[in-house]
Amino acid sequence: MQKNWWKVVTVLLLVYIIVAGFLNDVPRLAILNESIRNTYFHVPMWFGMILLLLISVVYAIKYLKTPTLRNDIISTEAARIGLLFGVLGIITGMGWARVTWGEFWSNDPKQNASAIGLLMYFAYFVLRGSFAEQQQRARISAVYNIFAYAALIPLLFILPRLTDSLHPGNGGNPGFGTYDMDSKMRMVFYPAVIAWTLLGVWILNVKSRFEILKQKMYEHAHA
Amino acid sequence: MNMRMLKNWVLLLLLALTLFINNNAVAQTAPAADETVMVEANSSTANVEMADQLRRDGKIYIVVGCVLVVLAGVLFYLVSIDRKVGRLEKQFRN
Repeated sequence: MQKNWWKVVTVLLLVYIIVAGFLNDVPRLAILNESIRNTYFHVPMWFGMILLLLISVVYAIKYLKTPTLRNDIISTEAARIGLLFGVLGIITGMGWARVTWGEFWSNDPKQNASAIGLLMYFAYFVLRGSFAEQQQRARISAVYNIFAYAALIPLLFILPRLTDSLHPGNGGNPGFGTYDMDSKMRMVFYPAVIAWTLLGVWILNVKSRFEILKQKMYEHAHA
Repeated sequence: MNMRMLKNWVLLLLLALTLFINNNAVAQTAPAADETVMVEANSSTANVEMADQLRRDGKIYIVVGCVLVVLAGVLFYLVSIDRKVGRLEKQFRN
């Protein structure tokens, strides 16, 4: 139990953000109306994705330094869950865009950039699938992983700011100040980012332990 | 060990439920305060349409309850997979 305290934190935070996210006061803003609460559910998907993909690229680099099966598995599984978060982020974003911007997809720079980013990570799995030999697959996809992450950051955080975007916080160089959030919302938003990211890390923890175990058992059976 | 963990999780769930009920009670005793705030707030923001009726009806609590049940179900499943993998790891070590 001592080792798993952060999983308890995850559960408590998730319950808190759902209760507070639906019931707490939010700023009364035209167009956004109650949909401003999506800030607690849509935005953390992207934060979670970025952090999971960061874990993925860190383990890809670790793999290139010390090529162990464990590093490869954690890197791959982190990319998988990061991609899942990204897909959830794009679906929730499209729903939100429909009621606030009028269309599911309005070719907003950030929408397009995040779609390209997701495609790059789909390509990562296509690349992995095309190698039969384990070490070759792990090494080449680790190198690709680094390039993918290096391309994703400007796609999501730099390019949309160089032009006009419907997304808040784009066009110019703002921080969180333009997110239409007041201090009450921040009390839910920051825990929400932590909670959803931790949930992703939890799933990553279980999935990679399972994959490592599977591999060990396979080796054991063939030894 | 397993029983103790299960007990911990049940306690956690109860804690979460009390949190929910407390929030519910606070929200239901608060409408008087809410209205004064509405009067004081400047008219341009007070006119923005929000789900005030849904809140007054109390139907929002059903939504929160539903989402919590879904979350509880998903998390319960994740915990059970987590423990299954843990058991397998232990078996493999022996």
